[in-house]
This record gives sequence, C-alpha cells and structure tokens, in this order.
Amino acid sequence: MKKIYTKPFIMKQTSGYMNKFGSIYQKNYRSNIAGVSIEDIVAKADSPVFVFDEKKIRQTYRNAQRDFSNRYPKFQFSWSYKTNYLDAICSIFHQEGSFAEVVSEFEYEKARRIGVPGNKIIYNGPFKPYNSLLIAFKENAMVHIDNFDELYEAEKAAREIGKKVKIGIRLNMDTGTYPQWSRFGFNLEDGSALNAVKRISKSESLILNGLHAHIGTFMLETNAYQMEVQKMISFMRDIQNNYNFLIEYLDFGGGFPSKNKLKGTYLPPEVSVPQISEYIEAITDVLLSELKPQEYPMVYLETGRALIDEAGYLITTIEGVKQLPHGSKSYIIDAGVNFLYTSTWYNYKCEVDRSVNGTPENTTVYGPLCMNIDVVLENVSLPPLTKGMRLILSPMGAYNVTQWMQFIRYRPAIVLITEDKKIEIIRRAEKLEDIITPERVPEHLSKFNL
Amino acid sequence: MNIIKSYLNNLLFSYSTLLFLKSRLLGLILLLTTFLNPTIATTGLIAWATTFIFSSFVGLKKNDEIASIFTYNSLLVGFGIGAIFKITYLSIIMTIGSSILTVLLTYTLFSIFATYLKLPVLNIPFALVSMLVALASVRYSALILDSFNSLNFLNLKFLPLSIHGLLSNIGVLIFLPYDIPGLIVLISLLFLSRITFGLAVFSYFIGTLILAIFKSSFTIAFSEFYAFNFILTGIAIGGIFLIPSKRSYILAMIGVIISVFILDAVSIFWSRFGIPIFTLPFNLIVLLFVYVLNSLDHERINRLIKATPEKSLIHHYNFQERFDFLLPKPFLPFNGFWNVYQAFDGEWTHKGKWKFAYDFNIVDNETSYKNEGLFLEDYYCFNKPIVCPISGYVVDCFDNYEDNQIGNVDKIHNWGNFVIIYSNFGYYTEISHLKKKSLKVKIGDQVEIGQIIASCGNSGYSPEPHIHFQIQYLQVIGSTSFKFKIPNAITKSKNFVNDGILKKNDEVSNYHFSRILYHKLQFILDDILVYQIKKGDKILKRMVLIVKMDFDGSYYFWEQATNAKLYFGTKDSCFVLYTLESQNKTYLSYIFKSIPKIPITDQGELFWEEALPLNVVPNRKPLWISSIDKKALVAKGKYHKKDEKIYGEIKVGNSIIHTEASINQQKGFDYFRVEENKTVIEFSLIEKNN
Repeated sequence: MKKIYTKPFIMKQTSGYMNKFGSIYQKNYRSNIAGVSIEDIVAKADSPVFVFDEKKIRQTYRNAQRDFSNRYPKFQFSWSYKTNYLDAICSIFHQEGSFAEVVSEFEYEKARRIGVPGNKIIYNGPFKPYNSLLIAFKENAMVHIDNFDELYEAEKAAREIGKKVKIGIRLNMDTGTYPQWSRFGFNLEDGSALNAVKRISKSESLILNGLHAHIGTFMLETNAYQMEVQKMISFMRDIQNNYNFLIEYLDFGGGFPSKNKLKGTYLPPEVSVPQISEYIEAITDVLLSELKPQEYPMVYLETGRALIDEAGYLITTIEGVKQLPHGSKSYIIDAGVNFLYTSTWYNYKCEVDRSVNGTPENTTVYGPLCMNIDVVLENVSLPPLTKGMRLILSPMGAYNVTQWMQFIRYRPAIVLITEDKKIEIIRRAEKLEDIITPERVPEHLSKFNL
Repeated sequence: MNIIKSYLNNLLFSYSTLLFLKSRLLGLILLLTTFLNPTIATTGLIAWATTFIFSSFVGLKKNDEIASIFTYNSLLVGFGIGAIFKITYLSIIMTIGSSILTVLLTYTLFSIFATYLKLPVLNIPFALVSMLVALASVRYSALILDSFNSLNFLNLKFLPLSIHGLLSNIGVLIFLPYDIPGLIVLISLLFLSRITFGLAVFSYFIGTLILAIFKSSFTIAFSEFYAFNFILTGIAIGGIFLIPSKRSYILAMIGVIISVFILDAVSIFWSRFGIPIFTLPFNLIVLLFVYVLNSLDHERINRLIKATPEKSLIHHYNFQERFDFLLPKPFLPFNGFWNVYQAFDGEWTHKGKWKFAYDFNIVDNETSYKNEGLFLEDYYCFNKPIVCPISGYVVDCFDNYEDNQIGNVDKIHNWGNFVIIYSNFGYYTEISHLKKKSLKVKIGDQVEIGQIIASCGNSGYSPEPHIHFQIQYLQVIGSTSFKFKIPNAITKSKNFVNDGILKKNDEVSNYHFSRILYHKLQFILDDILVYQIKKGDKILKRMVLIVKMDFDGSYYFWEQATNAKLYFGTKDSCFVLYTLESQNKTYLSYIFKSIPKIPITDQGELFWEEALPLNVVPNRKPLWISSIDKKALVAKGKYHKKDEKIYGEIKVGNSIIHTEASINQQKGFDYFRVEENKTVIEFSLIEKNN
C-alpha cells in the first residue's frame, strides 16, 4: 500500500511500554461486526449506519437473567423502552422473556402494538395523561404513581372504570450517592412515601401492591443498590405490618452502567465499571439475607443501558481530512452529534476498519453539520487516515437511536446482524417524505415566485 | 341401634369377605344361602358370635378391617365343622373352641405377616385350625360325622359335567358343593363384580383344563373337589391384590396353573395323614405372588383394597395415579434453572446403593462455563446459593475441605463439603460438593424450604463445580440412597414435570410459589359461592356451594341441593381437587374437569397434565373391558395456565372437551366454561359471601 503522507511532527521518545504517559497506541482496528464485514454492511445500508448485534444482546440478557435467577428465584427483567424502543430490539428482549417498562403513553402504545399484553407493562414516569391511566388500568398494567396529584387522578380513573385497581408507588431515598434523584416519586425519609401509603389505604378503589425506585443512572457504586434494597424491604415490612396491603413486587429500577467511557473519568471503563454480575450479587445478597423464602416478592429490574449499549455500533466514513491552524489534525465524518446524543458525556471507543501504519496522534473528529458544536470526538488518538476509511464508534446501543434528532441531514439506517450473520435492516434511512408528511402549508403560502 | 348396626355390618361383611368382596347385599345372600344346610348355617353363626364375644372379652379393637378378617376365618372354621359333623353339644363346643383358637392364630399371624412380611393373612388360620380339628377329631368318637355330599336335591341333574363342576366348586366357597348354591353365588357375582365373575369362571376352567391334561381325563378333572382353590387364586391375584389389568389377569392365570401341581402334591402328602387340605394351595400361591410383587414394588400392587375389584380400579386411577403419598418429595435445592448433570442410575457415579441421586450444574449454550473454563469462577454454578429443599433441621454438616482445581478430584473425601438435613417427614436429604466455608447453617439449626444454606463448590469427588443431591434414611454420610420425586419442577419450556422424575440434561427449576394465588385459593369453612349455570344461552340453575369439613379434616365444596361433595386441598404446592362424591347427577363434575389441579405459582405461563377420575370423565366401555386397556380407562387432560386463566383439553375417544376457568381477583373462580360435544356449559360467579 502506498504510504500516506503526514506532516512532520515532534514526538516524545518512549522506551518500552512502562512510562508515565500510559501505553502507546495499540493496533486497534475492527474489520467486522459480529462476523459480518464492515464493507458488506455499508454495501447494504450505506454509511453512516447504526449496527446492532443480536447474538450479543441475547447473550448479555441471558447471562444477567441467569445470574439473577440462580441467586434469587422470583426475578423478572422489564425492558426500558426509552433506552431503545426500536420494534426489532424490543422484540428480541420480549422473545427472551422481558416485560416492558414504559414512561409515556407513546411508549405504552408502542409496546401494546408489538404485542406486549397490558399486564406485562410497567408504566412509570412523572406524568401520565388521564386517558393513558384509564387504558393502563383496564389492561391491568403495573402503574407506578409519582406524586399526589397523580394519585388523585389514578383514584378518579379507577372509579371511572369501576374496579379495584392495583398500583405501585415510586420512591426516592438517600442511598449515599450524589446527585440524589429526589424529583421522582415520594421521598422515603421525609415521610411523604408513608403519607402516600396512608392515602391509598383510605381509598375505596386503589390497592397498593408494588414499590418502585430508581436511584440514578450510570451508577458506579454497587453499595448504593444494597442501601436501596435494604430501605425498600424495611418499608415493605412497615406497610405489610401496619396496613392491609400485600406487596407483591419490588422494582429496583435500573441505572447499571455500560462499558462506555464517561468524559472526565481517568480509568478506562474495563477497570472502573463493575460487572453486571457484581450489581446482581450486591442486590441478591441483601434480598436473601433480609427475606424469608415464603415472603419473597417478585423483583423487577428495568436495566436498559447495561443490556444494550455494547451491542450497538455506528459505522461512519471519513469524508475529509483537515489540518487545523494550531497544528493538530482533524477528520470530518458523515455522522454528526444530532445522531449521537450520548457524545455529550461519553468518549466513544473509536476503531478504524483496517490496520493502518503510521504514528498515531491526537485528533479531533467533527460531524458533517454546519454547526460549530458538531464535535463527535474531541481528543482521540488515531493513525494517519485518508478519505473513505471507516471509523466504527461504540458502544452505541443505548439512547442514541431514541434521542437522536433529524437535523440538516436524513437519519441513517439501522441494521441488525442476526445470529446467523444476516444483515437485516430494522429501520431504513429517512427520505424526504418521512419529514414532510406531517407538514402542512397554508393556502396563502402555497405559491411563490422567485 | 348403632351397635346392632355395626354388628350386623360385621356379620354381613364377614360373609362377603368369603369372596374377597365387601358388600352387605352379597353378605346377606350368602348368609341366606347357607341356610340350605342349616347345620353349617348354625355352626357358622356360632363361630362368628364366639369370635365377636371373645374379641371384645380380651379387648381387641373393633377396627372394621381387622375384625372382619377374624370373623371371616372363624366363619370358615365354623362352616368346616358344620360340614363334617352333625350338630350336637359336642360339635358346638368344638366350634366355640376352634373359633377362639382361630382368633388367637389370626391375631398372631396378622401381626407377624403385616409387620415383617407386609402380607395379608388370607385364610391361613382357617386352613391350620381346620387341619387341627380334622386331626383331633379322629380320636373323638363322640362326634357324629355327617355326610358331606348329602344334599343331592340341590344339584341340577340336567347340567353337563363341566358346568356342574364349576357350580359345585363355587358352592364349596360357602361349604355347599352343589349346583343351586353355586348358581346363586355366581349370579350375585355377575351383578356385583363382573371382573370377579370372569376371573372365577376363567380360573376354574383353566385350572381344570391343566388338571385334565395331566390326568388325561376331563371327568376326573371336573370332579376334583379342591378345584375351588383355582377360583380363589384367580380372584385374589387377578382382581384383589393386584389392580385388575391385563398383567394381573396373566399373573392370575399363571398362579392358577402353578396351583394345580401344588394342589396334587399337597393333597397326596396330607392325605397320608388323613387331613383335608382345604385352602392350602390357594394360600401358598397367593402369598408367594403378593410377597414377590410387593418386594419388587410392582406398579400394579393394590395398596388400598376397596369393596370390589372395580372400585379398586376406579380408586387406583382416581387417586393413586394422581397423588403419591409414599415417596419423599423434596424441592430442588437451588434457585433458577439448573441442569441435570447426572440422573438416577447415572453413567458415572450414580450406581449401586447411590443410584437414586441427582447431580446438578448450570449450563448455558451446552457448556457449564464461560471463557476457557480453567478456573472455578468461570463455572456458572460455582458460588451460586444452595437452598434448603425441605423443612427440618440440620443433623450433620462440614465445610472445611478445599475446592478442587478444575479437573482434579479429592479421592479421599469423596463427599466433600456436605450438609445433611432431617425432614419432618422422616427422611434425610444430603447435598454434597459445597464450597469451602460457605455453610450458612450449623448442626441443630431449624431450616425451611428455600432458605439459603450454602454455596455450590467443587469439593470432594468433583472434577468441576456441581452439587450431588440424594435422599437417605440414615444420618450417616454415604448412606444408601432412596427414590424420591421432585414435586414442583418445571422445565425451561414451561412444562410441569408431571411424574416428578428428572432425566439427564433436563434444565429444571422450582416454580415460584405465589402468596397471592395461595390466598385466592384458600377457601375457609362456610364460604359460600353461588354460580349461575348456563347451557348455551339457556339458564339451567343456580348452584350454591358451601365449604365444609369432613370428619377426617378434609375440606369439600358441598352442593346442598344434590348432596354432592367436591373434595379439595393443597398438596405439594398445588391446589387440587381430590375426589367428587355424589349419588346423583351433579354439575360439580364440570368444575372438576376445569381445574383438577392448579400449581400455586405466579409463573406467567405453565403447562401440565392431569388424569381425571372416572366419575368425572366417564368411561364409555364397561370397566372389565377397559381394565385390559389402560389407555381407554384414563382420561388425561392437558392444562395450561396463563396468568389468571386455566385452559384444559381432555381427549375422550375421538372428541375433545375444552375447558376454561378464570381465577377471581380476590378469591375463588369467576367462571368455568366447558365445551363438550358442541354444547357449552358455563358457570358464572354471581354471589359470594366475602
């Protein structure tokens, strides 16, 4: 191969691997995803393209499911729709036995549409429109009440459909972490959770049968969950002893981190992020030591990120190479931050599609948007690359394809690499019609002459 | 009144026991028939009365079952004396004396047989006592002999020899070896129990046929006096001590054929001493068969002998086929799905006295480890909690052996770290190969089902992490293992393991017990449930069910209008309907069809099978035919629970009955729906008292 021209630069002399600057750049390239070559994927779905690995999703799910249920018997995952609500992805989780956890009427409808029965849906969120409450109650969904006003709405809805309705309440509590998510649900320490229970016990049409909490996101501390479990169990006991309620389930929410590198962290995620099994062990240890077998409640987890993030990739293509005035190098790729919501807080892993010779240097990777903020990677060590090479960014599975926005360009296709290595398009690239269909031009604006 | 009634019952049952049946009507017929010869009728009654009085005099308990064995043997002795001697005060004294002797002998033999051999006494006491009487009477010239065959007017002259032989031999059973009594008995049998009737006739002819072949004379064979032994042997093996079936009939006929030789051998030997052999061949053959089959735990051994073979058959399928009360039933000692690494009679170590054991590990994608599997931590089951399979207390445990590195075994301490727990039901469970220092219990601790007791390790004779699980009847490590069943195992495909026996590579888990469902299915005394029954669109009736308790502590739904009783309860964490008892037609059988068993679980979906009693799904063929064909006999329903609904599919002949039931949010059932032959019967809950 012809050697790529690079401008001359000065580099610190290092001898061997042991030095205070950390290890030198390892040959870090990826020629395939789940056994399918990058070029095959691009040939089928163009670039950029989001890629999901079905085998990896199933494997991660099964490992976590097995790990939990081999410790604590009554356990059920509930797939967090907001993390990734592509029909195909949700269906994989539902095939594996996961329930659905939704936080809006839209997600609720989406889950129902692909065939999740109402009683297998957990309905969370700080605002649930009255009509969606009616539907959820009729279909026996597990509704978690967030605040007193919602409690009154729920009571009204229950009265309207004329049956005794089972509900859960969301709690928030101090688990020793910062920031404390006190904006969701009823606080345990200040007594408002107990007040909610009292209020429900006075209701003719509501029955309390579940407790829910979600202490944070990307939690790096397993002890926080132990604290959460401990507090919820003792609250459950309080309720069962003092009120005529049987708590059928505890929902410990989610918040387990993935192997994504948070900006501002020093250690690589492989070192700093605990394994899912460590969270599971922490949670089940408390459950098993605190509870007697006869009183085991069902336990739900709404893990999203940790189950999907590492199964998602983004293939992008270098469309321009540029030397910046202060001397450093930059690349322009075909995917911008409008697709990559999580680029705000992650430094993605960046792999090239082939082995490239040459000394790596710190570079900036820009997106294609005509906006100054479109910086995908600020400081990434890359060997000299040329136009047309592919960069594979990961982990990409969580939040990006739900929080992405259409801006300036069409949103790209999403493909799934199946277990038998077929490339399935699970969302095609956007077309002009997709964007203009909801639009309407008033009569007086329909014509113009230039 | 009650005392007289119980005496009368005992009297009539003693008579019907002569044919192994329990029927007042048959007893009465036999009692009346004996009056054809007033002598035996009188001595019989004297013997019975003596037994009764003597038993209460020495304080024998008036337990029905045992009492009728006493009186039955005495009755036979009484008949025997009456048949040989004329009634004089001497023969009466002899009757009384020998009856008392019979009671003593029966009691002694009963104790020995029941305790040490698990055998019935049959009529051995009669056989022995009558021999004694026969021997003793040789010296008593004061006793006046009667001619045994003097009542020739009871014979029907026109009958062929073969029929005469059959009838007179059946008559011998009540010491009236004539055609007319034989005919009376045979006709009553035909009405009361066709299986017994068939066995009696077949056994007689087969036995006699063999006899005729050996003696090369049908005339001699049909005149054989002791041929009634064939009849008794056939009935006892074919229909009483075994559940009537093709196999029991074959065994009965084999028994009859063998008894031919015994009969001749014994009668030649005994006749040297001038002793009649009476029922000796029958006793010998039946006891041998029962002992051997019982020891081998033969699947068709009848563990609860009912009034007739037909009733035994029905009970067997109604009850014993559905519920096992004998084997230990521990839960699985872990949470979640584990794989059966080695089952009963396993290929590696589950042999000989340790053949009834399971090894479990965790498998994913057909391997038990991640990465290379070089380290203990790579194995999915390593360090996973082990839970207590039974309620009881810890009698022995140890956890100080090292966990072997992969591929190594500890040949000195085969059992490794272990725990032995004594069950409140009288057996021990043993779990081996636990992780070092992982025990959470100590000797003497009370433990409950599901409680964490240790972690899975790799100690002892264990090349890779797994646990060994067995049931034993001794407290010592390494004791002989015994068969057991897992009551609530489910497979990954959501199927209930119906027979409780696991096979290699089954992936199984305990199902989750649901407190909520348990509360919903707890019916308490005087709960009232009112259902409206509709057939198609037509309202049939209002059915009121009240929960009542029987004298033995079992509960039932009682339909006052028809006095039908539907027994229910909780067994092995399932809600079960035990039996339906009713004299009249009742719609309760539809409820039975819909929910014969419900696993009490909050597992979303589950599939299981359940056999249905014959009075719920009636058999189309007569019982004596279906006893030959088991498949025609047992209607099995396939059931499917999905959330709060239970769906059933019962195949009867070529048609299928579809059922559906729905569990109420608070308690009981909202509706039952049974579709049978295109008609739909629907029960809907319209009222309840709570």
